[in-house]
Amino acid sequence: MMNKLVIKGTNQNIYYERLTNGLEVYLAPNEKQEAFYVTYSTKYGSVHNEFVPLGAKKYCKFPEGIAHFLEHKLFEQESGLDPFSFFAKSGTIANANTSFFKTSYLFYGVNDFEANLNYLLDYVSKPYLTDKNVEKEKGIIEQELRMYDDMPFWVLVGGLKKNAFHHHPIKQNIAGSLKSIKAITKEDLLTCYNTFYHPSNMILIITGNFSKEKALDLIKKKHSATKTSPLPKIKLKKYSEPNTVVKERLEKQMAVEVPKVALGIKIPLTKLKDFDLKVINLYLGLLGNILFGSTSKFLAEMVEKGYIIGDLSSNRILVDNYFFAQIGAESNQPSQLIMAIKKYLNGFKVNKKDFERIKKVFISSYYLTFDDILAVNNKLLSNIINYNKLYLNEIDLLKDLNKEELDKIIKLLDLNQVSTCIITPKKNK
Amino acid sequence: MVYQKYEVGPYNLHIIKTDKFKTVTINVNFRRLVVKEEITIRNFLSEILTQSSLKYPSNRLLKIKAQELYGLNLSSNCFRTGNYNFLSFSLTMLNEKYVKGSLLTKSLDFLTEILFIPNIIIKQFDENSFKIIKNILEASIKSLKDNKDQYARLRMLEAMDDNSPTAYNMRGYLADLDKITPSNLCSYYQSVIKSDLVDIFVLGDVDIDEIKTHVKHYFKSINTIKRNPGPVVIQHQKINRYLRTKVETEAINQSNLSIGCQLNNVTKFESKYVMPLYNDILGGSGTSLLFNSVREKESLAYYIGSRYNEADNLLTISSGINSDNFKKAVKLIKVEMDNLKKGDFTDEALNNTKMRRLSALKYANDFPSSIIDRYFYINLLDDDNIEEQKKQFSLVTKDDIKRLSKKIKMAQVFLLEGRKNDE
Repeated sequence: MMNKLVIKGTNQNIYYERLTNGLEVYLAPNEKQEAFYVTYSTKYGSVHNEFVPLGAKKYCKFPEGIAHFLEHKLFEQESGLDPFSFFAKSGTIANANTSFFKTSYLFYGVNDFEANLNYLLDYVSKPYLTDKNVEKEKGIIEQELRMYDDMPFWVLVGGLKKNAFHHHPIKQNIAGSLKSIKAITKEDLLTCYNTFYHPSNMILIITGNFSKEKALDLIKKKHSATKTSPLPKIKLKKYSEPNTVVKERLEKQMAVEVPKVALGIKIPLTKLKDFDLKVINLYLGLLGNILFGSTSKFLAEMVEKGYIIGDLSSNRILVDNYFFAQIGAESNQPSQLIMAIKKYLNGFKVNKKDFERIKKVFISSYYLTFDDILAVNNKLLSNIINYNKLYLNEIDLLKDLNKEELDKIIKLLDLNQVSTCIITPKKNK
Repeated sequence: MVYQKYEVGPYNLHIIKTDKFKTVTINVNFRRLVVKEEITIRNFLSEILTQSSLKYPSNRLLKIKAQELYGLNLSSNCFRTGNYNFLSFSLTMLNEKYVKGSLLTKSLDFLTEILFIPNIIIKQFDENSFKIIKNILEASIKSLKDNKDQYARLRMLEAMDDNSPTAYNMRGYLADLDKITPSNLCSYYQSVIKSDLVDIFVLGDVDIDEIKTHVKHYFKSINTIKRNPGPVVIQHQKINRYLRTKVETEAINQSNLSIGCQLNNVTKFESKYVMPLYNDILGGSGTSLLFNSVREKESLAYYIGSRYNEADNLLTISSGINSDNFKKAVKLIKVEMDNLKKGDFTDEALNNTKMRRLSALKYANDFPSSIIDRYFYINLLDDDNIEEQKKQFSLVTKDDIKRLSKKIKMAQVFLLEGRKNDE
């Protein structure tokens, strides 16, 4: 039986069921929209490189970038009919992506919902790997890596992670390196597939215009025919990551015209154990906006001084026991900017007016999320991946945010572990 | 969804009433013929108007006001469609039925203060805002080179026909930036308000009569009757008789290939219906001929795709490759274009791309911006209405594609050459 859940403060219902084989299914219909949006994800991303493979006893390490490589390869099917061609028949858009903590296969369209869903569940369950098609993919991924290597902000963020983390594989590039992908074999890919692509490690989320009854019927039929019981929990390698960063500063030259700079702050969560992770994340988002957003005094000052061109961008990711916050900008005075930001991080004050105003913006944009079936799908997925929870009451969490609690959290934050990365124009050859 | 258009004289008002969204979106578009020397100053104007205003004299104060209006989002940009340069302002706000107080009039106050009461004192834009925007524009112009794909594409278009608007750098030019002063920027602003054609779009769950009354009141500064200065669609002046190739080198990891193809003497049916399908089949998706050949079969590229621009009469192809494979990639692209000429593609490919177009017409209704775009192009490029578009797409035959493909001429190949394979 499906559980009906309501996202508080909205008209959005969610129907949830965990199938006997362990697959988690979330259906969030919205009949006001024309399209449906389906993501089928495995909790397997670029950081899951060391684990005990299914049926094995010992930990085994795999080449960097293998989760992404596998994502590419699932688009190859033994029948010769590839997923893009199948979805194209009904004018449906298909794609896939790999991030640090998950791999998703998705489609988006307005026609033939059931046939498309049926096909999605089908093709992701049927890897077709040969030595030849694995080799062929290396040329394609090589070009993908080279493309990223010419994108300055990509290189900047890559540099930050590498310098901030000693052991955690978040430091690696999602797609690996030219060297690591060359080492990937058909057998490696199959081992990873068999371990992580079991329904009990997967999540299916459907948002938009579709019939929830038909969807569930189909999903159940499909899954009762295949693997029936959940697998035991996958043993993933744990990393003990020191609080310090590896290297404080990295400077790189690239074929760019405008210098770019980024800071990564490695924020340990050890002192924040009393707070819910999601709540901490909301506070950090709010704080990032207050300190570095478009209405921050600091930003205005930096722009005035000519240290920043345009805006500062800021965001963060949750990495085990850390939040890793990143701040980036274009700057003609990168070193001065870094110094100014570091100083600011050690002596800022939040004023109540800013807090309340930006909180109001967060609440308003939360409501607007539910106009957009892509955003709803992503929100559900990221809550499950990051917190293993839906947070149906997120609106209450937002409304309960208060300056006193933020001040308490700020006192417990260690913002001293900073790695920086600067990209400067290459001198003339 | 209800669409109504009012030709007021000084401007056109387009109201799209729909209860699908919790937001109200307002777009104000100024347009005039594109002039190369004006691109930079127009970008400057676009940036400085949303940087500050007389009432909100710094960006921080202006953004604080926007946040107080429930996170109202206001952005501006300049873009070229064919022969026109658009200066466009887009505002998204929460529908006032979700909040206390008259958010619509407060937001209109805010928008029109920015448009009509800028930060000008004695015929000069505020020095401080001017200085900040000048830095932003300088970086924006320079950093075109930081985006290799975009840069290669522009260099290709310049090599193809330097004088055509298709080759204008819409980020602007450093030499022109140096000539801009707070005072000549003010004159340019006044000429835009006075002589540009203006279209105002309002989309959301609104009361049509109320919007009409508001717009009449708030946009009374736009009061001169304007004449349409000329056609939108570009006809190529310079036709390359032979395919030309240009190569530049740069210290980068990947080589960026960009190819331009000119279209000549296409009919309305061809430009609106046959050509989008041609483009989809050639390089518009993961099932296209180019994707299958250059990426999947030959493993030469990660991205390979084509783009069609109706107003520019232009088809462009781009890819990232190793420079060793340059000749091979160009040859494969030519082979696929020849296959289209010969009609050597499946009926299924044609049907799939029709389905894709029909689906896109439908799900465009899920986004305020794409609904506005639709009516924008119906007005600008004489697009048919949706029902007619659906009908016309389904009428396109293989022969139509074959016939059209003979009017497409590959004119310019450009390679931004990076390091060799083994480096």
